[in-house]
Amino acid sequence: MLNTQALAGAQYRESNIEAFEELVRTYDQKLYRVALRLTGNADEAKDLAQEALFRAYRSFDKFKIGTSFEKWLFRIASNLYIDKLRKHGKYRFESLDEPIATKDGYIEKTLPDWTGNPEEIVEQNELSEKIQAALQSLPINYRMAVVLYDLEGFSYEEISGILDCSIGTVRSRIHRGRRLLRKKLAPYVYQETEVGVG
Amino acid sequence: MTCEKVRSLLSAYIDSELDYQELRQVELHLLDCTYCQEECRSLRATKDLLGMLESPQLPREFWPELKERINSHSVSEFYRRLLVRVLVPACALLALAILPIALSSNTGASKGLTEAKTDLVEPYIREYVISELDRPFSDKTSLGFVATAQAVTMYSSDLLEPYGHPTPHKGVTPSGQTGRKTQIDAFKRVMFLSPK
Repeated sequence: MLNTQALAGAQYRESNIEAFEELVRTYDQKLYRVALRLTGNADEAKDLAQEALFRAYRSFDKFKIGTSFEKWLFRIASNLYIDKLRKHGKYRFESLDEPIATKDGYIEKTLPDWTGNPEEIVEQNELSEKIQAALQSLPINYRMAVVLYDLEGFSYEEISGILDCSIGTVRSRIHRGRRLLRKKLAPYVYQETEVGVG
Repeated sequence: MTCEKVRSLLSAYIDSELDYQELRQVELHLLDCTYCQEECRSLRATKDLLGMLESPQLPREFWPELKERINSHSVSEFYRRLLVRVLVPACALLALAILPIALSSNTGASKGLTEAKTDLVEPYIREYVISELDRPFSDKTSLGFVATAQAVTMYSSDLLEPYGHPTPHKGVTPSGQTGRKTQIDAFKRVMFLSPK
């Protein structure tokens, strides 16, 4: 359990970056994952997660001691993402392995090295891309709810706190989001269902 | 419970987020309705599919970049606070302390400046303007440009002499409203009027 009380003390207020880092280290990976699933782009995800942590650091004074730091942090991130979407219109979708165009030609992005046979890797890559593309196609409210629940395991109640809406709304967003995803990923979904039934 | 109502609750049912009453009703309905069973199965498969996404690793440069940003923010924040809390009040106090002294010595300062200006005017300008004014067809406008406002102001006493005006103390411009009026009149004379 994090001692947020102690961190909110004088030591933290003297811009103790180490203490802040220690506090958020538990969440940085999770935050980056959510950012990546929301944006669909590694660079934007890094920017979003860094910006969220920077804002959390800057406005730590506003954090209410005794409440969930995790919820507070993810609320900052989700608000930040919505603000960016409003400001720049829609985030463009970029494939995770799409080459980056530079003045000297194209640079290939490197993907994580999955162990397993090449066919499995190709299939896994393809499936990941399809799922990510399907997620990207969801309206932002559905996408956030689905990502927070299905990928990061927040409860409906926590999501309602993060997204500042009722539990009923969270329930509805997750359900609608899943139905849309099912439609987009139909071949994989029904393949899975058949395997499950068989 | 109708199929439509049950279908709207299926995701929450899969996630175990229904209350006891709703859970019972959904379970009872699913016992008999194959359509809703299939719906439930496909939604569960969709959820499971999402779980197959790879978990990305945090980029190596993530924390070094963030720390650098926080550090630079802390430094700029330090200077901002220094400015707001120390320098601005200090300047305000200093200004408050200096203002009465400056106001009390205002007349003396102005006088000193006027005297200093006298030294800056080239003597040949004065000589040239005076000599040209005596000539019958001299161009007064052109002379007005040559003898700049400053030159005329500084040497108003000299310029007024040929026209029979009373001579103030040489080299010192009379201060105050009356002095300024005299300077303007002298300037107009040089520029536009013939000698008496």
